Amino acid sequence: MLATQPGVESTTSVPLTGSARTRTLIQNYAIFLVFIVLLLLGALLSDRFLSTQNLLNIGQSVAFTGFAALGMLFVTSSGGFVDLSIPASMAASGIIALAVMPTLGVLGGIIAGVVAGIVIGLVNGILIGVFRTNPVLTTLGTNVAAIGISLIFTQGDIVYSENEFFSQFAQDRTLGIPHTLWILAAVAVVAHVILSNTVLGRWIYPTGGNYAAARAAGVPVRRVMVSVFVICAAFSAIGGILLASINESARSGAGAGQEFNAIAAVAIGGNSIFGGAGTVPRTIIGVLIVGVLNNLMILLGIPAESQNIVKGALIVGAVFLDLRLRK
Amino acid sequence: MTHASTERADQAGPPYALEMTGISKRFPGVQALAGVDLRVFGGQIHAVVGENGAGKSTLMKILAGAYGADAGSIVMEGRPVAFSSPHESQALGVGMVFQELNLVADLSVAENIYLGRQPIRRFGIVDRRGLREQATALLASLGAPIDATSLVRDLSVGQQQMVEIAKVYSQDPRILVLDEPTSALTEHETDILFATLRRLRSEGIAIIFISHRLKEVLAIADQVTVLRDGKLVGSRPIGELTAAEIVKMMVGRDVGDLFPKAVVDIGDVVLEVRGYSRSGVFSDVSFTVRAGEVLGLAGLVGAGRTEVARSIFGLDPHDAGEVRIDGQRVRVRGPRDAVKAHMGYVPEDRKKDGLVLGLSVRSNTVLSVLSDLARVGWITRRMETPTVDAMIERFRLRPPDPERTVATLSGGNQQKVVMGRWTVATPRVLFLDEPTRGVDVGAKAEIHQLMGELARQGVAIVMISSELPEILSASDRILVLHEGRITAELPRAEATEERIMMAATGQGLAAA
Repeated sequence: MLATQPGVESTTSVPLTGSARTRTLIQNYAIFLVFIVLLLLGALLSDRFLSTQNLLNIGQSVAFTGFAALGMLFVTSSGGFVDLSIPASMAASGIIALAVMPTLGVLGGIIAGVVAGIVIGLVNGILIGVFRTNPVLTTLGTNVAAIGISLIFTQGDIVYSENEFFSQFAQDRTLGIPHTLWILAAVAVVAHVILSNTVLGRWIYPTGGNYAAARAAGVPVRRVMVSVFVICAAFSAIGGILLASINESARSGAGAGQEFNAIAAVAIGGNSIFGGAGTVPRTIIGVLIVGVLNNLMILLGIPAESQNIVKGALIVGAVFLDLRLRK
Repeated sequence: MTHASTERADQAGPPYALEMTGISKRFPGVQALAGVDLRVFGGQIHAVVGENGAGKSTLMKILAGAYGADAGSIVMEGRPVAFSSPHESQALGVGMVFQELNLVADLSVAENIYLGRQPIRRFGIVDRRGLREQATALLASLGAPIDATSLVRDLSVGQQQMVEIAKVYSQDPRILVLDEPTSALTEHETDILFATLRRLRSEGIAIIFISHRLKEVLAIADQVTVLRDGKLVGSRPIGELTAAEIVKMMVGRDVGDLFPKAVVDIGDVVLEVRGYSRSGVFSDVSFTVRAGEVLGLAGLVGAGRTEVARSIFGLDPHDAGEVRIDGQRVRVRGPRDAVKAHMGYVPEDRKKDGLVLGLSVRSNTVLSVLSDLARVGWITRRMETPTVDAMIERFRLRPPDPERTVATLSGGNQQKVVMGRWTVATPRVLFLDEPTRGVDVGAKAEIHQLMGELARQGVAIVMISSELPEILSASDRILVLHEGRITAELPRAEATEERIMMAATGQGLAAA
């Protein structure tokens, strides 16, 4: 009558004690403090650091990582782990957009570019979400394949923008802020709204937190997985098109390394790489920290190779912390 | 520490094999143990019982050297001991058999028993023959009919447990602790285990037996120590106690009927399952459940009860058969189809298949009804709050905080969240797989009460339980499975433990 399975030994819920609450607070907001400290450090180290121009430089330089990181956030939160095909989406979107712009116009070019990205995302999503292939290997493969296709398409060449408006758009400013940053802000708001106020967003976290339980609760887990890879590719494509605008050209290698930067930003912001948690503000902070660190190292004259060491160490450190905090 | 109800069975006899005195242990926010005594003689089977959270596991972990006690002393065979690691405790003769078995599935029985201690020939080569012979002799001395060369993977759970016991026994323990050893065993395997324990008792080993199953405690133990809320309630020879008295000591009150059956009008057939089969797992399962009816699925572990429920709900595939709800054929290709057809499933393992532990009570509660609460895919906290608050109030969730992470709730409250999710999804059919496993007595009664409320609302309930008393008291009708087939269908009035066990062991209803 009283037989129960042990191993589930708990009667009362443990209340959060004062010190535990403080710890949670620190865990929740530590990363924002780190960012502020970094800004103060920058201001002390270089008097140019806090100038409007330098801050805008930072923003402009990390904006493309920003698009990729916002997309990556959807993939990590859903338990899709990572999308390594971001470079392909960024490159393909820019190339397609510029290639069709002479015939379809600016808007037509942009739409075609985003669609190109979405196609890559769909392939990833269907393979990973429906056929349950390994996300790392799958996106690694689609990345190489899609870049291969774009190399054939461009015959290894650079595609130039022939449209005056498009070539100026990304760097032109409204209210003193470059359009790239306006669009990044808009995408961030959209991402935040999707994650917190749509049914899809509210399905993403449980899918990443406990796939079996989400499925058993009737969450359409396959559809969720397809969606996150499509969203990631679409955001990357928007970044890729803006990158083509800034460069006034597009090439197959345009997005190289952005998948790495995106993972770095997501992890450094304190989002879980293993699913179930993650927010847009944290991701943006992660992107800004990467940007500020890069900028500081440049201002201090640290060579590019050493900068990579710092970035790599930061990712490993962030992932390690995530693992520890999960316990 | 002295307790009025603590009696020594023997006043001036030999020293105790184990004497734990005044053991206290505090975890952040919880006093897990407060001045607990435990005295065990060699050659005694000593049961330690108590509700979940009573402190049994903590006490045993202190004995195992996994935790250090904040206060208290441990004396073994007259000598005070102190150990700071499981290794030291083991070296002093404490053997532990935990519920989670610690075996390597792809190694043989002999290799598992002597893992890391294999007899070695020259050049560090394992003496395979010596190993096999040693293991065979050891198993024979335990009376365990197991071939030392078979792979652990191929053994039943009961046999695996015997291997674990052999492994511990081979290290020549003075004190043997078994934590819920019978929970995964069939009755036959339990009998074999008890025979082995009696053998070990006759060798003078002190055996500590932790169990929730009072029937077994009464059958095997010489002495019973009862803990409640981290405190010692009493320790008495088994002859002085009845099951009812032990229960009273455990819960500190008269329990009476733990699962009073709600009186419910039974309506039309809601769920109809016809010819459901899954190759190699179960075949030709057909039954109906009516509105307000509780159908109990009984059977031994491995009979296919959970598998049948999982397949009907779409968690696992099926090869043949059909499901109708309110007369309408429902095609279930996955759990989402089942949810859409207003079925719900409270799984056996709520942490694995039921809850997203890292998310809040709110998120877990609305998970199955997000689309219904949302307007064109748009959802806000305000749209969820009435649903979530109503669930928390109805299920008396403690603490009543919707933002609380589910991982920090107790087992009983976690179970309420899983049940609460399905309640807000207004199910027509609800599967409950071991709904009270791992929850304490109070929460158990509450869960049964909630089940009664759901039945009163016209939900057709299918309940799986390995506890016969639970099945008998909660079900209107009982279906017994044996090796994937239905072997009996018993109306409540005709069901007895004996009849269920007959059908569950495949002996049919010969004497019906």
